[in-house]
Amino acid sequence: MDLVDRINNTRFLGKEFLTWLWFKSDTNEGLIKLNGDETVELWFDDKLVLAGVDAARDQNIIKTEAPTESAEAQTALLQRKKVSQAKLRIVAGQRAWSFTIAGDTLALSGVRIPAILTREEDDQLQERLYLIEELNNYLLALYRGFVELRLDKERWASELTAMRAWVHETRD
Amino acid sequence: MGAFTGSITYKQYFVDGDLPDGFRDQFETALRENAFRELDHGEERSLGWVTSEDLLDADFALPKFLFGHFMVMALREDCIKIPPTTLKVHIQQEETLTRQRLKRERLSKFERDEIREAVQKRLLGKMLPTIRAYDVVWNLETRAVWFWTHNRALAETFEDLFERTFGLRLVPYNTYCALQFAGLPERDMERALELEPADLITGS
Repeated sequence: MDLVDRINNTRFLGKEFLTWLWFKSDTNEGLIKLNGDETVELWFDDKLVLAGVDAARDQNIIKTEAPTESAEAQTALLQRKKVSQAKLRIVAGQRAWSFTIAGDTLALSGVRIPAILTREEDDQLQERLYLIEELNNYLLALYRGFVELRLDKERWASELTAMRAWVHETRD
Repeated sequence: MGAFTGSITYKQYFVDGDLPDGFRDQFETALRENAFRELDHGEERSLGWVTSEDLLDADFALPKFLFGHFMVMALREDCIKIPPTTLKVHIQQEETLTRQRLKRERLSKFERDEIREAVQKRLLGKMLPTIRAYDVVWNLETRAVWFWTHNRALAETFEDLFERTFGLRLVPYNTYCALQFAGLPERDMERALELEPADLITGS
C-alpha cells in the first residue's frame, strides 16, 4: 500500500481521536492519563467544529465559552458528527499550552506556550522550541494511547460502550 | 512570522531519510549554495535561505543556524508584481510613441513584443519588491520540520527548496506519519490500516 493510501486509510482516526479526548476530558474532570504515570489536564476552549462525512457541507462551528456543553454540540454528536477541529488547553503541573488542532491532519495553529523563564536571548529560542516540542510530545503520547486502545479489541469494545452511553446519556 | 517571537502556527513535516555523515559541514555548504540573493535588474522573483535572526544575512555559519539539536533558518522570497493596468497603460503609451516616430499606423507582433519586454524591465527596475520570510525549524533528533505558515502555495515552494538543498524528502504530517512519530511499532502501524471508523451511536 503506498503512502497516500495509508494516509487516506487512517485519516478518520484524527477526528475520532479528538472526539475521544472530549469524552475522556468530560468524564474524568479533565484528567487524562498518558503512558506511564503522568497525567495531564485537557480542556476544550472556545471553538469546536463537528463535521459529518461530507465535512464541507455538513458541519457545526461552535464558538462559545464552553462549546462542548452546548446543545448544538450535543445534537451534532447524535447526528453522528465527530470533532474535526478544536481549541484545546493542556495543563501539566504549573504550565499550560493552548492551541487549535485539526482532526484530518493533526496540524496545530495559534499555539500559545507557557512563559519563558530564561533571560539569555539564545537560550530563549531554545527554550521556546523545547516548549513547542513538549506540546507535540504530549499530543503524540495521547494519540498513541488512543490508537493502542483502538487496536486492542477487548479494551476498545469496553471503551466504545462507555462512549456510546456518554453520547446518549446526557444528550437525549 | 518567526520561531523567535510572535504567534506559533506552523505546518509540520517528517523528513524521510537519515542525516548523512558529516551533515553539519554538508548542510552549511548546501545552505550557502541555496542562499537568497537579491533580485537582478528585470527579475520578478528571487527565493532562497537566509538566517532567521537577520533576513539580510545569507552567509551561513554553523552558530547562525544550529541551536542545540534544532536547525533554524528562514525562507525568504522577494517578488515584484507589476499591476496589470499599470503595465497596459505604459505599453500603450510606448506603442503610440513608437508608431508616431516610425510614422506608421501599425506595429508588427515582433515590435510589440519587444516593447512589452522593454517596458516590463523598466518598470521592474523602478519598483520595490515585496519581501516575505518564514522560519523553518528542523528537529534533527526527531526528524520533524516546522514551517512557520499554513499557506499552501508557499508550502510547495518550501518543500521544493528543502529537497533541492538537503537531498531529503519531506512528508507532510498526517494521521499515519504521526503514528511513526509516536513510536508505534511497525506491526501496529500495519494493523491500524485495517481499522474502520467507529459508530458512536448504535450498538448500546
